[in-house]
Amino acid sequence: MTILTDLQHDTLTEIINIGMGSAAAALSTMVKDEVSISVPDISFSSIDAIKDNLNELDTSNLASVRQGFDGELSGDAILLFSGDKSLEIVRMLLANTLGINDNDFSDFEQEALSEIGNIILNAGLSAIANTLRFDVNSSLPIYKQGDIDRLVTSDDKSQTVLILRVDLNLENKQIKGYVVYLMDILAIDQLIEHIDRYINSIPN
Amino acid sequence: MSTKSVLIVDDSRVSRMMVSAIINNMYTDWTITEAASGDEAITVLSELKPDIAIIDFNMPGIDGLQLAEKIKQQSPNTAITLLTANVQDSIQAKAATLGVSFAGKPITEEKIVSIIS
Amino acid sequence: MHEALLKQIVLSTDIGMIVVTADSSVVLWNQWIEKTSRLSADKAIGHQLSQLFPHLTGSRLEQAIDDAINNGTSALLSSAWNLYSLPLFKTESEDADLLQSLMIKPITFNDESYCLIEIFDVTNSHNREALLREKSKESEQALDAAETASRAKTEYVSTVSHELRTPLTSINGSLGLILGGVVGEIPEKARGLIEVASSNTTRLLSIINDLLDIEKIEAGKMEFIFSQVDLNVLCSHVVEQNQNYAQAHNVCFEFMPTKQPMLVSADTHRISQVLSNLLSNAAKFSFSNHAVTVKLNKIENDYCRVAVTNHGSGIPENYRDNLFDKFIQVKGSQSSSKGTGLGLNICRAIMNQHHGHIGFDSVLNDTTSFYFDLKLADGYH
Repeated sequence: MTILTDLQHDTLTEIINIGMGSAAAALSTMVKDEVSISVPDISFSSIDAIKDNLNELDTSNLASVRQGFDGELSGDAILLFSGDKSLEIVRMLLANTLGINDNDFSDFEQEALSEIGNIILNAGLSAIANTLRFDVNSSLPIYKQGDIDRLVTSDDKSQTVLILRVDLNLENKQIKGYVVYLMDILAIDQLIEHIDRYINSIPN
Repeated sequence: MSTKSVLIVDDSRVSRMMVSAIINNMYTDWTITEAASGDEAITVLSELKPDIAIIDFNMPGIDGLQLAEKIKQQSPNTAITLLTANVQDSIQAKAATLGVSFAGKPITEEKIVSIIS
Repeated sequence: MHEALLKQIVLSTDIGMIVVTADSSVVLWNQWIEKTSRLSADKAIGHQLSQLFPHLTGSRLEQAIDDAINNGTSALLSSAWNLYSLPLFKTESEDADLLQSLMIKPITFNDESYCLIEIFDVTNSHNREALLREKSKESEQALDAAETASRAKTEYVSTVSHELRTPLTSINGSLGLILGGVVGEIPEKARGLIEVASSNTTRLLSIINDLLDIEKIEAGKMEFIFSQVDLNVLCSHVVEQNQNYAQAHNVCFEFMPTKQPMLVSADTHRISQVLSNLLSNAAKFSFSNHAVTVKLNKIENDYCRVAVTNHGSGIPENYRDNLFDKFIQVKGSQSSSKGTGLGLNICRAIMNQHHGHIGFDSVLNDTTSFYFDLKLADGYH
């Protein structure tokens, strides 16, 4: 698996954390409460092995928001949360104490989750794109629920997966999730190249 | 401006590098000390009372605000600035009550300039 | 496809479409948005969105457009948090009442950056959802209230029943003693009256006991004491105990025992109660001068069926589904005696506790059979 040097690891984590900071600020304005998002860990995996790397979640029941991106860097970004928790969060945020179906998300709630996912994924991508100077476009979010095999899929099985562990704190509840970037090996190489370029640009 | 001492506290090495580089560029004679966590910073404080402290909010262990309180106790003359990616009213407010300045990440030259003047 | 046709399609589609350039000035303003914003295309095109809608400054929509142009990110402004991104009108009203869901996408063309804003009218589905949630909440509240009321009623019934039972038991006891001659000889006229008083008191007591049984069933507190019993013996006893009742209704009870014993594990008192109930119903609804038969039969899966059959008007169609529910009484019984309507409900509860079954077959104006099934004791064939 791709191994980053300590410095590269540190840089990528820091860049994404800054991005997530603005996502948290945006969410906080929306839900009118304190929100914080931190990314304590990043790692790499292959699509096949992804289950082993998502330790904080029950991979059989996940809620996901997925956005494709293309341009100088291309791939898919997927936000993964626990299926049960997500419903809880959304209902709490929408100040709805009563759902119609306790087990299903209505379209309304799916859309709300898509928006939250969109904000978080855009923040991560923008941070990477702006700081590392990539020209990328992202597409609209798509919501899907189910088993990890259904959610993290790709036609190209050789794709590498960059995994970010995400801790989202909302109204004193902590929700653990992951942001997973599916990219091919060329994209990963480019990413690392740009990280090095950035590090070298810091005068020493 | 006379020579000053600066303490930079951030768990991100790159972040420390950036702040350090910007300050060095402007004031080559200033002393810069780095700490990677709140605990490390407290150890440094037992020896050094810096003129300026620039601390990250989101760190493992004690967070930036808790550290700021400690610095205020141990080294009341230090001008403290909290740097954070998470610019929310609640954090800003808490910083203000402590008498701590506030700046949002990402770090730019202008921001550092306004912090140290 | 011809460009002019494409343009016409875009202009006339039922999704709102706005396109702005990198400096936020409008280059496309389709018919849907003309209509709903009450701003025609010639007034909008060439102007900045923030000029047309001053309140947009600092809004999520403005930020999303900036991000699309500068960062290439697409955004979803769902109706959850952004009901009125733009002031749009659905009806003739003065208030902007069109609820929206927006999608914002960056578009690059000839090296120029543009931003496409798509607007969806979600007013109807939003209102429908809100209504459904209201109704759902109301239902839950109504259910809660009903359950509370039901519990209160059950407790009340139980308390009152106990209060009534004590004095009635005394009365019944006293009358019984008098009839038994404990205070000496009673004049004939007096005897008749006392017997009426006694039988009515007995009836009142049985009604109260029914009510108390129901309360126990609902509270899950009915106790059963199981023992091995031969159904032949049990049925024979119960039939004999109820012979007076039969006579009072101009019928007679006929019990046909089986040659072999029918051993079951049951609460004798409760099963007797069930059989009594079936017998009394059979008698009440029987044609005069007919027999009510009680038969025992082995049926499949090693069960024994006790069937009480009468000749009578039968069970009308509209009662057949709810017969075992509470407070159901078939009207027009031959006799004038009324019960509480709880009998069959209690019988069913008792049979459930015995893992048995209760049911009926009825042919109008012919025979009606009520039966209950109990599992034969192990090792018995």
